[in-house]
Amino acid sequence: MAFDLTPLDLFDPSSYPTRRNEEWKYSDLARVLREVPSRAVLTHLQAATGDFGGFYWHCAGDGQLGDLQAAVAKANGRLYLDLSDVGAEGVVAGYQGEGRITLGVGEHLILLEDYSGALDYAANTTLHFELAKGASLTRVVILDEPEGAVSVRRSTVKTAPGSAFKQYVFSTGAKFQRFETHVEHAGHGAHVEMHGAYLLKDTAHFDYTTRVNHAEIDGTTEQLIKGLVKDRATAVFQGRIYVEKGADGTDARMRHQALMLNDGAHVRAKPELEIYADDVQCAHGNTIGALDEAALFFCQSRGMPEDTARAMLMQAFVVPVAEQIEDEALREMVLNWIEDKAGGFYAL
Amino acid sequence: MAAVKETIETVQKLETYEHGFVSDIEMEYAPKGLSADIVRFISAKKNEPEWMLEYRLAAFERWQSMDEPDWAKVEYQKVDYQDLYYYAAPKPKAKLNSLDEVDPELLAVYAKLGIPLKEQEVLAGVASAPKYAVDAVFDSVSVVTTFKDELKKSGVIFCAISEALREYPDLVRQYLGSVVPVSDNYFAALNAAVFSDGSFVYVPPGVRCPMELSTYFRINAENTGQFERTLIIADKGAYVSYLEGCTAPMRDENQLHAAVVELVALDDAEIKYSTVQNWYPGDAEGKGGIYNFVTKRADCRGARSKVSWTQVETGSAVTWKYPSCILRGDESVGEFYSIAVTNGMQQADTGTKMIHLGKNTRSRIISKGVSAGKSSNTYRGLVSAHAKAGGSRNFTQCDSLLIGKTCAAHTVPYVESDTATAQFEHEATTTRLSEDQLFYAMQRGLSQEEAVALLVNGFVRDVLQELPMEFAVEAQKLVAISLEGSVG
Repeated sequence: MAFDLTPLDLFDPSSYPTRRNEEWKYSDLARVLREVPSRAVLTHLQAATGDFGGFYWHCAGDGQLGDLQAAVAKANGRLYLDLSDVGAEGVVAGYQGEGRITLGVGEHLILLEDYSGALDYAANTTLHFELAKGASLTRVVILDEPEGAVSVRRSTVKTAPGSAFKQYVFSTGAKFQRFETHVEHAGHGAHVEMHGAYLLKDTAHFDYTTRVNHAEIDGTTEQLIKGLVKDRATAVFQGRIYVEKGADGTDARMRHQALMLNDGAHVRAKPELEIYADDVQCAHGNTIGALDEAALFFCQSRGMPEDTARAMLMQAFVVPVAEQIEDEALREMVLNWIEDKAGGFYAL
Repeated sequence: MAAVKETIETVQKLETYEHGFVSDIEMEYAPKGLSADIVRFISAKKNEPEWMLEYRLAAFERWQSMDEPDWAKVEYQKVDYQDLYYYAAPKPKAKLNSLDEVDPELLAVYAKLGIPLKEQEVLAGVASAPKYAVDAVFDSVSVVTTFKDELKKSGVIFCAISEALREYPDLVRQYLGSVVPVSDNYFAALNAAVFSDGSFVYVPPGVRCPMELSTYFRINAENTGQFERTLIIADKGAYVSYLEGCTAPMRDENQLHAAVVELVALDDAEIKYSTVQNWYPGDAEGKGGIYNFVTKRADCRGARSKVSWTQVETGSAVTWKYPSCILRGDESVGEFYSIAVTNGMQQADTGTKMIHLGKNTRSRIISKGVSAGKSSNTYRGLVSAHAKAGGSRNFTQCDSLLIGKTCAAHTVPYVESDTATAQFEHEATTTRLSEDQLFYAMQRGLSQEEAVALLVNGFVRDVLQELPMEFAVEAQKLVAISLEGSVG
């Protein structure tokens, strides 16, 4: 089955998906891009390579993401992919590019992807991953983009028997931010995890869309997405688990939990199961609610000021996603990042 | 074990679709096809007031500009709307003064279906047996409504909607289309233009309807679409429980059933609406069967009002149906309990919408889907909380059970929240019939078919419990019958 990505070319307004497209029902890209004042064909990605805290640093340039495969060859299992964009005063830059990474039999890669930047830009990047038998890819994605950015980050993943794909996405949103992952699940012991956490405030918009297609027997998928939304921010989670005919022994679980910190924030969730095989275990859960008053009361009754108690409970809500990262250095880095971002977030 | 044994016996007894017979009754048709003239014909046939004709014509115009929806997970051969009869009614022999004068052949149809149309038949039963009034709709017209007088004594109006349009035009005008507007969707617009009959219920303030009300829909004529319209209003503090049943003959052609049901609950009122849908599902190869494209919606307009939908969907070739609640009144409650069983080549795309607008509104969704054979069963639902719906709560559970390798089960929930104090929980699971449980049941001496019936009835029990007594027993049998031949 081919990956079903909505055709999108930033430089061709007729390709912009509207809300009439069911896949883009909650994220109106056409509207947002119409508001972008100008779309100069400019790229501000500075090509660079080097060492970054134990990672091989690859920074893309010239509108393309560069030769990622060559970077992987040099990375020795740890690659830092820097897609930060600096933008430029007074202009809105637009860039789009595609990159491809293939992991051979039994190869392992830890990939840290950094999407941050300053000022406004519109970006559309697509990464294609292919895993051979027994390969493993851990992908930690930091989406720390500027408030005015419009970004669509998409990826396709092909797994092979016995391979493992783990993805952890952390986002603070942007004017428009969509992170889409399409996985072709090879089954036969292959394992897929797609987790995420978001901290959204002001008018930030974050859309996390995942599609997993179980085509073969004995595949497992796990998903845990948690997040906080405040002010007038919007969180969108669209997950679909598709189990083809004959993909028996599939075990797939998906969970999305959102905390809303004030009225006027928005949460949209669409966790789908589409199942054509009978010997499967599939489940999804979705909860949306406010901070647990009882827990808050308990903390306060132990002498904790309300602000501190709130901050602690909110942190405790999203941190479990980061804590699942096996690599210690990476986990610490993400936990620090969350703490840093959360500083201004908890205060109501 | 008595219940299981009974189920099995029923299964054996009913090798095929029990209600698939055709009755030879002299009918009166409108010319085939759909045009403004046909709309006028139907309206004239019913002696409707002028405003009603205008309403219909506006709906027809609207319908022409709309497209048939294609987002549901169902595939079917599109209906040729010009190749249908929009009005088919048994020829009236003479003016009827009482039930005894109803065409005996018609009465025979209902006797065969087990629907008591003669009040004394109902009364003749066990003294403690609950009474229920029936409105029988045969193709395009309501042929009989029982217990009308007794209901009238307590102020309850229960009659055919065409009669209500003549007798209580102001009431109908006030509420008709106020829950499902003409432009709501393609099938609702079509229904508004050509609806022929259906039930009208009005329960005055503070009245608890003394008996269960029920409508029995029967499609008989060939190449006919059935477009019924039901409107139920529970005034302040009123209560009514309404049951709906449907069957149709076995035919090789697909037939269209596009109904609209509107419920209005004012302050402190409660409406319980139960459906046992057993339209002809088509044969094992998917030939024939009813297209069931239905719009059902309740408006919990008043504070503390409550609407509860319970449905058992076992029939129809294609089902497109989402009974919904608009929870407008503060502290209003919406409930949706559903069992959808598909077998053979059936396709069902069904679910609900719970739209929380008022403060502290609550809703609960329990959906159990069972798919077998080559069928496809989709739960599609929306739960949304408006920014002003502070304190609203929803609990959703939708479970799917798969029997066999060739069926499909889908879950497509939409959850939208705009308020911090809403609390929404949604759980869904998809599994197959447990081998262990099956083995255990068979090891205790049950045959495979019995064991499956037992386990499936256990799976749907949460919903069966919500059905009124008489329906629960029937529904349990239906579930077993629908799954017949699905194992092995």
